[in-house]
Amino acid sequence: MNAVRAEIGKLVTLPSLWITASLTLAVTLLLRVLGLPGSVLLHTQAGLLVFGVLATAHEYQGGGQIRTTLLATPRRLALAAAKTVALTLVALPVAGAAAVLAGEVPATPRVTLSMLVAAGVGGIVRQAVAAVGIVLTAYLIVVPLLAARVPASARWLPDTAWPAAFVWAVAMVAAWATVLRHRDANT
Amino acid sequence: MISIDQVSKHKGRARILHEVSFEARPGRVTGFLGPNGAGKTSTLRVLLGLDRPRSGTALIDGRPYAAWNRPLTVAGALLDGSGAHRARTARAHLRWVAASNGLPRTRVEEVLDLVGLTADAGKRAGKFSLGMSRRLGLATALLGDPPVLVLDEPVNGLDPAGIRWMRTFLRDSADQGRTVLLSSHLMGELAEIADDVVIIDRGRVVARGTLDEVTGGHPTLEDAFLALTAAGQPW
Repeated sequence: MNAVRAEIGKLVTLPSLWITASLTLAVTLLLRVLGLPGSVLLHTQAGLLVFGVLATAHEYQGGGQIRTTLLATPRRLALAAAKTVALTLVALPVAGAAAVLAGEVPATPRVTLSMLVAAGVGGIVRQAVAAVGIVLTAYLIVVPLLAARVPASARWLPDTAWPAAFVWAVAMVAAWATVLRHRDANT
Repeated sequence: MISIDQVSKHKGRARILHEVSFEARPGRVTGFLGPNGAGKTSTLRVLLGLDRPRSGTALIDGRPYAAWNRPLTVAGALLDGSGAHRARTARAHLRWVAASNGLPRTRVEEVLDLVGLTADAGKRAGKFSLGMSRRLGLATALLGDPPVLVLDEPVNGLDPAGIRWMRTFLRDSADQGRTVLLSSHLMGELAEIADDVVIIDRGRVVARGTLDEVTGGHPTLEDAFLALTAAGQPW
């Protein structure tokens, strides 16, 4: 519980997260008002994915915060669990607000889960820019392309059906927790 | 009490620690001395559970650091840099660390006052000078009022007043019964403060004992250090 409180504290006092969230919500509203055809979230989900990446990758940015984190909560699996719970609690209202502004409320769980996938990638890659590149390429290019060219794949893609979105989130978070557990705390 | 027993570690093929063993006792300042790259930081990182050894054990009061609940109340660590994200304020940083170990928020203000950062607590850690970063790192280490302090090159980047302050602080901590382990490559600095000395060179402990024992027949600790390590070899 202490670790979850600490992780929530970290997320809510990180300026880059709140800049990302505010911009994402503002652009979502703007696109909605402009009345673009198709899904607004399809575009502005990019901001939510950046949010997910930063939630974990910020540990490795300047200052060496990851060391402080591992000294404070040295049990790595407990740390990964606390981070996942904290991010879910913080991401859900942000994703929900974006979904409401986009007029796509039912997409909330799917988009929240995509933020957890992004967090998993951010925690494994540790470089925010590289992780953002991977996640945006996957969600904005690879997934739509596969869904269009190979319709049969749709039910297995992380961003088309929400049971698949759940499985992808669990898999990425588990992969990240495993990596976190076994590697030395570089930087 | 810190007990390091037969710790070995590899990085890739290279063996960076070779059966490192020593103890640091309560009420004493133990200086961990060695040339750059000798394995000081690696040893401290293994002790703190940040890195894994290939073999051997490193215990704090009888248990690995990572096995303690609320570890910040058992040992405080000052490593390179502040350990705070550059965009977070000093106070916000200390608050999340306090929360992680169930420490009260009042303790945050106490440690800020202790290291003289109260007036700058609302500034982002990235705006801090080197000296202020070290003080923020020390404040973080002291949050849990731990009986054991582990410090990696604590006076690096401090001005003369800061060095004097740190020296007095560590001396007082040991005199109050704490175990103080600090690494340094500065012999003069260490000779001023250490009760016990451990010298490491190329991953192996080459000498350990009280300051007098290690200095032995040499005129100064620096002479002993240069005689015992590769740093003394002409290049």
